[in-house]
Amino acid sequence: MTEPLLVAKNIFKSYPQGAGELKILNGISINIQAGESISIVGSSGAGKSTLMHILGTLDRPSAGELIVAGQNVLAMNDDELALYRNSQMGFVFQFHHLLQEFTALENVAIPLRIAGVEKVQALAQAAHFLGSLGLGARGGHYPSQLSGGELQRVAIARALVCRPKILFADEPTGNLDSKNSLLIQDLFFELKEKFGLTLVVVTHDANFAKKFSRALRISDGQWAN
Amino acid sequence: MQTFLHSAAKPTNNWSQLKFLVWLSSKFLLSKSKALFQGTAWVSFAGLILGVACLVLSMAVMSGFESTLKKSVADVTGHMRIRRMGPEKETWPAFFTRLQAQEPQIKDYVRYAYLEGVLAGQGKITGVLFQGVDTKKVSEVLNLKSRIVAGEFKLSEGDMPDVLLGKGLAQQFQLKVGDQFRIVFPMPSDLDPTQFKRKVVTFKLAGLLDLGAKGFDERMVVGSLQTAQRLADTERSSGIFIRLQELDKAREISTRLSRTLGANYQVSDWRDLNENLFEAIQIERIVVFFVILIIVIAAAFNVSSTLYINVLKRYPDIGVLKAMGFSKKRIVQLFSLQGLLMGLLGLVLGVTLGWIMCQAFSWAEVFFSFIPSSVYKLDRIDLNIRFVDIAIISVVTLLICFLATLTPALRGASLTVVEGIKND
Repeated sequence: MTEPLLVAKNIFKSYPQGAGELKILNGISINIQAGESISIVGSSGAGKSTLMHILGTLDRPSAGELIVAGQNVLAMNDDELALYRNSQMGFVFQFHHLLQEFTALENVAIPLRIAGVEKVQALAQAAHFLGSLGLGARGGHYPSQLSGGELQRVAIARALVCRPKILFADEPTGNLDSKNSLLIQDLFFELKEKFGLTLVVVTHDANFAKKFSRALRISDGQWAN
Repeated sequence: MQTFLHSAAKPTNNWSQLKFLVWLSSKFLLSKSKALFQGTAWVSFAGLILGVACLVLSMAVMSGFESTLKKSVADVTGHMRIRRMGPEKETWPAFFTRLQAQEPQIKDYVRYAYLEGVLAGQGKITGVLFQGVDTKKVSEVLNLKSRIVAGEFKLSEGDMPDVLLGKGLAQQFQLKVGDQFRIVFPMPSDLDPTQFKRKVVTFKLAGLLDLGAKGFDERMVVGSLQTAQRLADTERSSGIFIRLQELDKAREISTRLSRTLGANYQVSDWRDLNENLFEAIQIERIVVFFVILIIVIAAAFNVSSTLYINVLKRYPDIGVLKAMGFSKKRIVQLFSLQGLLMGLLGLVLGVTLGWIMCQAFSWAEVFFSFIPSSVYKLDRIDLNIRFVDIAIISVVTLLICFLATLTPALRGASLTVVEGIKND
């Protein structure tokens, strides 16, 4: 068996609350193989988003280990982690979180600029990527001029433009109508095949969750099964 | 496609990264939805502009005061003055040749003689200083011609010599060009040196001079050296006025010459005449600068609070930028740059407003007397916007704006990705 792409061991997360603490995650462990697709479901407050944030290095656990591609990422400082995320991980959130002042094309180009790609080259690559998602004609539009489905597709393009190994998504269809939701769901799997991505998606949608190679349920900060 | 993207992601230089940050900052700055210039933000920004404008005007006034007085002294009495105190051992041309060999900065000289006199008329009486200058060389050293405001530059000899008068003196005695007037000169008696004999001379007013400083304008009569020598019954002159290649070298050259020429000569430069005043101006300039700088500092704090609010509005954007790989350092740079861009804009507009205020001040000076000439020796200031003043104002303003924006920038940087994203 090949080495897992991501290994999380005994992940705990708690927040101070008054004199005590609020426990969100209680010793969760998970191994994720490269190319795998995993959905995480659970009721609100179960800790699924917190787990995704920790796996995606957006937050640090109170205790536990996190190894990504053989590297102990928790040993890195915040700035090293930021660079690491830029090259290895992509994120899609429930709300698109596109920057309102920038066109769709510029939004997609920003991760490349952060990575150090020159402006002209970054915009060319972003245009190419948007084109491959059927948004070539919308590159010059601002977020306020795009529909919900288009916004989420631009957000996906932005998450993937630096060619990450893992794509994390936190309820990516939670804000869409059923038609657009299905389109985005199909797009995720299409891109997963096209780029050999590893997918970790948090969702409330049971039908969407079933489409993944592994569907995990979280309850009270632990795996339910 | 897999290789296409990775091969392109080569690290770029710092200049490219700076351009990227400037691009992001300027877009954030001019955003319609979360712009910095919204509501009361304009008021704080206007405060910054006004503060800078006041600094420009006050520095222009202080520098103008100094340069107006400096120019006046240099125009009327040269860059330096050397008086012979002892017996005449060598001619002035020979002395000058020796001087020039020692100090190559010295460009030219003109002989002069001073006589004290009394001008009476219109029921008034006042002491005057008759400055006789060598008419052949006067224009090489002094700049009196450009100060003529009425009549012509004419210094003749004869029984009724043509002379020039300071405009204040002429106004006091209601003298017009072409008028004749008399000056009484007290001369030491040949028989008894403790006694004076009086010599009354009638002059013709050829032109009026605006000499810049009140002290000159209300006291100075300019005539020819020959007239002064004839009145004093001597071939001698009091000394020479000297012109240098650079006016600002006068102090160091006069100090050196004082040492080398010895007690027979008294060397002074343009600054000596108003030493205390020039020193007071220097101190006042510093005090005024710091007092008005408080306006800029207060305005910068307002800009800081505006930026702080902007950082709060941008929590989701900061979160997503961090998720995409923006480091803390870059978040600090991003918001500091916004502060700097605001500061730069405020500076440009402030300097422009300051320049307009200077023009308005110069225009209003013609009609209103802002400066009591009895105190400041000048009745008008030619405002001087110096590059060095603007440079200092620019550096200090940008530094203050930068420091004021550090707190909100650091607040933005300390935000975690999760805090940012959940804040939408």
